[in-house]
This record gives sequence, C-alpha cells and structure tokens, in this order.
Amino acid sequence: MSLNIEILSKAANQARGLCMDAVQASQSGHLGLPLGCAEIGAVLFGHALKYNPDQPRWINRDIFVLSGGHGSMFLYAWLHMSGYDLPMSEIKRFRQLHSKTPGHPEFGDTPGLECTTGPLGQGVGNSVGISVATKMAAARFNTDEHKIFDQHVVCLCSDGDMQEGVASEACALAAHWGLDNLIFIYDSNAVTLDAAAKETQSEDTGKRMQAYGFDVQEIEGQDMQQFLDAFNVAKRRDNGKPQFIIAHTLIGKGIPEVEGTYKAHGEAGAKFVDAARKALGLPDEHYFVSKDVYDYFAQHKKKLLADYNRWEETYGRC
Amino acid sequence: MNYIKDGGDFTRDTPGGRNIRFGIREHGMCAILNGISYHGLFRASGATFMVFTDYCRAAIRLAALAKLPNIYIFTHDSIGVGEDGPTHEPVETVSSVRLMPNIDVIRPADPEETAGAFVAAMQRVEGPTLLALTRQTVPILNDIDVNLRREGALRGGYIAKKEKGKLDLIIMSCGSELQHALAAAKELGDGVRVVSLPCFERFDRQPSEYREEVLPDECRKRVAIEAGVTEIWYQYVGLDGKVIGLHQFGLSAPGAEVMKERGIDAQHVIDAAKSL
Repeated sequence: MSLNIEILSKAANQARGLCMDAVQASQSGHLGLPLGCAEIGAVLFGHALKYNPDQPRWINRDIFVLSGGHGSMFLYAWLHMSGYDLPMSEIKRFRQLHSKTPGHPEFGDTPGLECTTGPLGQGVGNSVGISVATKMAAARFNTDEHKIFDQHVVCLCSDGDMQEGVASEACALAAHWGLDNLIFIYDSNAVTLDAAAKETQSEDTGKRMQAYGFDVQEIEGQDMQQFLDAFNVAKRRDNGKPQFIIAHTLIGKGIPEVEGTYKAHGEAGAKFVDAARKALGLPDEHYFVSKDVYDYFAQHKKKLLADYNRWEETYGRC
Repeated sequence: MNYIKDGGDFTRDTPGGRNIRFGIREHGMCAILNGISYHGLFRASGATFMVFTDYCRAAIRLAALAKLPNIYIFTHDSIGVGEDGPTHEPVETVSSVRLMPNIDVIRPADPEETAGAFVAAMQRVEGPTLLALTRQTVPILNDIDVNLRREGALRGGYIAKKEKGKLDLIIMSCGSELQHALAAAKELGDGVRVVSLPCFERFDRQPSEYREEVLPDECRKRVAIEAGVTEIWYQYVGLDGKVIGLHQFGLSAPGAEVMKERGIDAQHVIDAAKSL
C-alpha cells in the first residue's frame, strides 16, 4: 500500500496542534520533539507499525518506545489518533492530577504506552531488553512452519539519549547479540536542552553506531516517503544487525520564532502558538482533529485489525 | 547462584539461552532487565556487586516506579569484602536502596534465610526485589528452626531467639551481623531477645499485631547492629536505643580485620546494651 502523504501531512500538523494546545494549556511541557518528529509519528502510527489499539498488550505487536520521554505529547497525540483508549478529554488534561497524560510517559497509566521514560538513555536500554525478550520468545516458540513472533522493536531517541552512557552500553550489547528486529530512529535535531548539541558533541554518531555493528541510514526526517523507505529497508534486512536511522529533523518545526534552536526544546515556544497554528492551517478551535484524519485512522485500524485477527485465529486460541 | 545450570547462554546464535552475559555494563544491564520485564513474558534477574548499585540506580529506580518485578542478586554487601578496600565496600549502599519506594531489600543472614529471600523475590510481582548477599563465609544458624528462618525472611522479620522470662532487651540485626547479635545475647543473659530483620519493607507490611509481637512497644531497651550506616535503624530502635554501625568508609585488609577495626562485633553490642 502506498503512503497517503496528503492525509498524513494533515495529521502531522494536527498532531502539532494538539501538542501546542496541551503545552499552552498546562503552561509546561516540551514542544521540540513532538513538533520535529510529527511526520515520523504520522508514518509510524498511520502506516508502518503493527498494533491493535483495542489490545494494546497484544504479544506480537510492534513495540514502540519513546526514549526521549520529554516528548510525551508526541505519544499521546498519536495514541489518541490511532484509536487507543485515550480520549481528547485526557489530552486536555495533559500534566494534570491523575490524568492518563502525565508529563513524562508512565508505564501503566496510558494504554499503548510501553515504558516509563524520561531519564534519557533509559528507553534505549529498555528497547534492547524488549528486543532480547522478543528474540528469546521467538527462539522458544517459533517453528519452521509457524512464526508466532515476528515483531519489531522501534525506539525513537534524541540527541540527549545518545549522549547518555547507558545508551552506549546497551547499543554495544544490541550489536553483539545481533538484535536485527531492533530499529532506532535517531531524532537528530542537533539541539539539547539548553544549547546547540555542537557545544557538547563532536562525534559522528552514525560512525559510532556503525563501529558497534549497526546498519546506519541517514534521511531527512520531515520527508515521509524517505523515512518510510528507510524504515522498510531496516525492517526487511534481518541480517544480524540492529538498525539505526538518523533522521535529521527541525526541532520545534512549526513555530518559526524558536524552531531549530534550544528554545524550541521546552515550552518557550508556547507564546507564539496562536500565529503558528494559523500558519499550519489549523482552525481557531483548539484540540482539533479533522473528520478526514479521524476517518483515515479508523480505516487504518480496520486493516490493522484484519492482520491482528489473522494472527489471533492461528495462534491466539491454542 | 546466579547462573542457571543447563539454561544455556543467550547469544546471537542461541537466542533461546536463559543466561545473559552483560560484561562490565551494570547500568546497561539494569536498563535491559527493565526492557525484558516490560515485554512481560519472562522474569528477569541481574547480578553484580552491591557497591555497583550506584551504577544501576537510575534503572532500578525506574523499575520500582514502573512496578517491574525484577530481581537483583547483589553480592559483596559490606566492608566484609575486605582486601579490595573501601572502593569496593558498600557502607551507605544497602540503606540507600531501602530509602527507595516500592523496592524490597532483603539482606539474609544464612543459607536458609537466603532460600526464603529467593522465594520472596519470586513471589513479589508488584515491584523489584534486591537481595543483598555477603561475600564472606557466615555460620549456618542451626540453633534457629529451619522453617522459622525461611518463613522469617518472607515476613521480613522474626524472633530469632526468644528471651527467657521477662523481656529486658531487644537486639536487632540482619545479614552477616546477625551472628554477632546472637553471640551478644548469649553473653548478656536471660531477658534478651534477638530479632532478625532481613527485609524492612516486608516486615513493615505485616499486620500490626505481628509487628507488635516481634518488637513489643513496651520494650524500649533496643540495640541494632549492621555493617553499614546506622540512621535507618532508628525507626525500630527508637530514641532510647543504640545502633552499632559505620560512620565512615571501610578499609583494605582481610575482611574479618576490617570488621573488627570498625567495631562490628558482639563486644560492641554488649557494651552498648550495658550502657542503656
């Protein structure tokens, strides 16, 4: 199936809008990652990932880890649009008491959310562990005839994630163990919390990952087709190497006053949101998702459910 | 203890293996254990030296927060490590993990308490359990009934030696120092009770009647001994008691000599008891 760039671009901008509205309302949060990675989110949740919003813990789902947990609104926006049990009322309660949308992702609080992340680097390690578990499960239970487990583990990580030592430890092991169902998407926006990343890093991260034993691809993160092509290559390789996609993105894309700078990381862009929403073609109505975007995701869910039902009929009732 | 016999190694060619070798990557290990637990099909445990809890801490904290049932089997849990010296000797480490919410820290005294501790760790699914185990040889405490030691570890605390006649003094301890508490009690005479407290968190979850039975409120003459920082023991010892422990780092020398030099022995318990 070809990528529906038109509707997914619209979805990406509406996801940006949800993020701006939620951060503006709570007067806290992080705009940079959700805005910079909106196209990646649209492709993953609207096209590429295998999941079932009605059965978030389906054991053969693709497992998506947001290691840059500060970008939690990324996850909440896409989980909402994908049809998980995360209604708009919860998006409106972003970062509020007992909501399903806490400041950083909390395992158990939000359907479809796979890991508690935020302390950077941890999600990278979690993804390696999840991949280990999927490999163990496949080795234990798959047969030549029946591939019960054939999922991928996908981790979206930030510059900060890759700077943390724990990520290096985990990545070295991932390559050593040949975890080829593990795909990292490196949101390379060249910015960390309080400065341009170049102030604190000179390494070639791609070469570093190659040296560990990863396959590395490099793409423009705002280009949906380029990202999908790279993602599909990474999925199909099965060559004993974990996969690393460097996605060059523009942090805070959509808010011209801050995009591309460290000011886009947190909530500093919130005061420019009204103009930014207009420029993205969003209506005055806040927390807006158009009918055609909801319809697209509803259709997409049908396809996902068909895949799920095939698996469930074969393996779920043993 | 940490290697599953006949389990095979997890490698790129044998991903069905049950033993995972992490090399010298404690933080990575603990973040990866979290991942295995998030997946949900397997129970994960990891092993290293207790002092390197500090390397693991960020990932252990998230396991406790996310209610992951990981098991940490951490050995070399005190200045009893000895020759390797203070860099490798936990002093504040065990108690610092006890301060963390939603993790059980079990520091058993002998093999039977350790067996109970393993059962406790396997049974707990609401969060992680850390076993703090000694490096040095400890006596098998066969004066205490086997089942009492095993079930005592599961309850977190129990009466290891009951007083004769009127209760006059309670001595508390855990891990490799329980032997000193028992030795001191023998010297001090009839009215002395010894309480083994291998796991504060499990003990605190017991019904109040049980806790009162083990540590009766009316007995305020209390002494505790542990080869570590003392502060956390005062919740059981109270303002009238004394805690024998460490207020500084360890030393490089044979473990028994380090323990003696730092005053971790029965004599210091006896002196403290007499001073009350």
